Amino acid sequence: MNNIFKTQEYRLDDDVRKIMILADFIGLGILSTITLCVSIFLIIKEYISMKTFFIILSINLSIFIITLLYSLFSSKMYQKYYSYSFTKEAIIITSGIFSKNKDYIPYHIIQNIDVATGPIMRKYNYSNLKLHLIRGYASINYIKNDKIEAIKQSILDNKNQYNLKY
Amino acid sequence: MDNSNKKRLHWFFIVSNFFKNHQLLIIFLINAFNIKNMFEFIIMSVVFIGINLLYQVLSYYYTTYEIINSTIIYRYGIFKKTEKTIKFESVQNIDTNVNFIYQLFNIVSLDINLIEGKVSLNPISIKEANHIIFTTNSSNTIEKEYNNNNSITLSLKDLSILAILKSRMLITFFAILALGDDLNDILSKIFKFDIFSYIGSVNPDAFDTVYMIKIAMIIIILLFMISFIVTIIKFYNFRLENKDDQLILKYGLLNKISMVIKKERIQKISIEQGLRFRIFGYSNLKIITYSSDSVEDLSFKNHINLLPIAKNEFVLNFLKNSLHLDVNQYNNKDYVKIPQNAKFLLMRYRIIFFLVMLIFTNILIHYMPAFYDYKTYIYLLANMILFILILISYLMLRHTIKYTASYLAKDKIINIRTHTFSIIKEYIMPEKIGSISIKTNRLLRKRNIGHITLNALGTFSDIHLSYYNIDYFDTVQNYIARKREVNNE
Repeated sequence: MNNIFKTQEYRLDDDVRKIMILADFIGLGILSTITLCVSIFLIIKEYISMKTFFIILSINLSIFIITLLYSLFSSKMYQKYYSYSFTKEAIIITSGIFSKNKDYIPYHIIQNIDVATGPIMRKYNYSNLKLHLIRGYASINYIKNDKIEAIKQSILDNKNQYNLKY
Repeated sequence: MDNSNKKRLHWFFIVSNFFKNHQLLIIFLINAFNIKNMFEFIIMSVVFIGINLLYQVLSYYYTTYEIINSTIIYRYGIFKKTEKTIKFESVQNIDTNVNFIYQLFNIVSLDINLIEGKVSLNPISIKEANHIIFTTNSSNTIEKEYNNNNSITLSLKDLSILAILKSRMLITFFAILALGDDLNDILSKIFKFDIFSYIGSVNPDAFDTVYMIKIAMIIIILLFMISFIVTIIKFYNFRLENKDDQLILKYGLLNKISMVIKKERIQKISIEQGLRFRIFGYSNLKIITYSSDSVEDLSFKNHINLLPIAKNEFVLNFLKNSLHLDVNQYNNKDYVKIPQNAKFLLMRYRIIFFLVMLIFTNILIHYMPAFYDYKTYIYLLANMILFILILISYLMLRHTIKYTASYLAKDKIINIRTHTFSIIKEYIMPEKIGSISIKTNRLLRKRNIGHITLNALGTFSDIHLSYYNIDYFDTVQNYIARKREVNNE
């Protein structure tokens, strides 16, 4: 059983945790700021009482802390359990914290490959590789930018070995 | 720049799209609430009709298609112009839909189905549709002589049996509600029995067996009549033509459907046997191509219903002779089944559901003041109904465990699954499998069980192997890899 979900050849770097936590922190920060601004506006206009304001504030803070704690936990687990490998005929991705997933993506069903990155990922020199399949898409997450071209080329070379008709 | 090969759709495009412009209609309706007098209403209606008409005329003008060198070029868009180039070889299948209004104008909606998505030439004349179908297929078949032509039709007897075996309870119920008076008139003329006056004359305290039998008979007759009408409308003039490398399917009365299916594009063949079908020795044959989701066939959703009803032997012979699939060779093989320790997992949601239902129902009866007078009877009745439901659920579970199995044959993946009391045998071509995935959670992992999904290249033909042993994933993965290597060579 353990062999099926065993860690694959490539694992995520430690920096990935930082990226994930930072992304969650920024998102939560924006959301909390908006809530705070709206609450202040409501109290200035006397739509809510001071008591309600403090209730909103404490709920906001609680959500912030809980989500941040979960983010710390989930980023660690994600980094621990996310791994991928490139075999002769397919890309294998294993992932999952509570429920385990394993995807086996043969090269010949890949149609084209996109490189996608966001501002935080860009800062740390990481990108995602988005694989457009014949149906749907798959993604290899958090690859170092200096490796991405080589990986992309390797996938395309492997894909070209197949000449299957649909 | 103007090319003489460019063709436009039928002018009815303007009319049909005029009424389909929902966005403009919503804007019109929102504004209609603020109208103060008739004059404003007329002005607004004229503006709405004018803008909509202009938009549809321009859309009609800029929507063109042409066929050049085994390629269909489809252009559309007024401001944002889009051009789609479709090579004949990438066409999966072509089907046409004709609704009642289209029949009056001799036009059809032609869907050119591709692996992902479709191009819809809607509407075009029948002559033009035939020309496109002929051109697309002739380039694929390269002047082949059809020497194996034969066709299958469904007789009135077949349709009647289908109507009985697939009786539409829900439609009948709503039809009785909606057309109660009219149905009573018809029945009283045919059977000389007026149900409404009879109900009025019966003493409700006395249990009348004859009365109950008559009511049951009438419901059964209604059920059959409505099922029969629905079946006739749907499968009227059913015709399946088997040519060398393609199947041509036509059926329908109000909504006529016509499909050209290339045999090599078939992803999955599925033989479905409901409980009633099994008792009378009938089967339902369906297939799935890459893009059969586009077939507008509400009752059978994403499957192409190749043979809605046929005797088991006939279906097996048809598969053997027309689709080169000898089903019998896969009998008595070493099928992989759901492991024994998965039984509890399969039952867990049912157990929780029925426990909650049992507690909730009994608490409800205990505290509802309306039930005070008949509490004992209602307790008995409710618990009896629950017991029957538990029994049915248990039987369905046993049925699932008994029949669910899969087998990796030399040239096919065979998956046997159940749906309520139906048995569905699926035969999928291994070369049509794309990615494979497995999912499991802590509870399942303890028992070495997972859900394996074989994602087929086209939509709606995935195979879900639920509650299988995790190690089976490796077997499937190696099998698919081996098949792909062989095909590539």
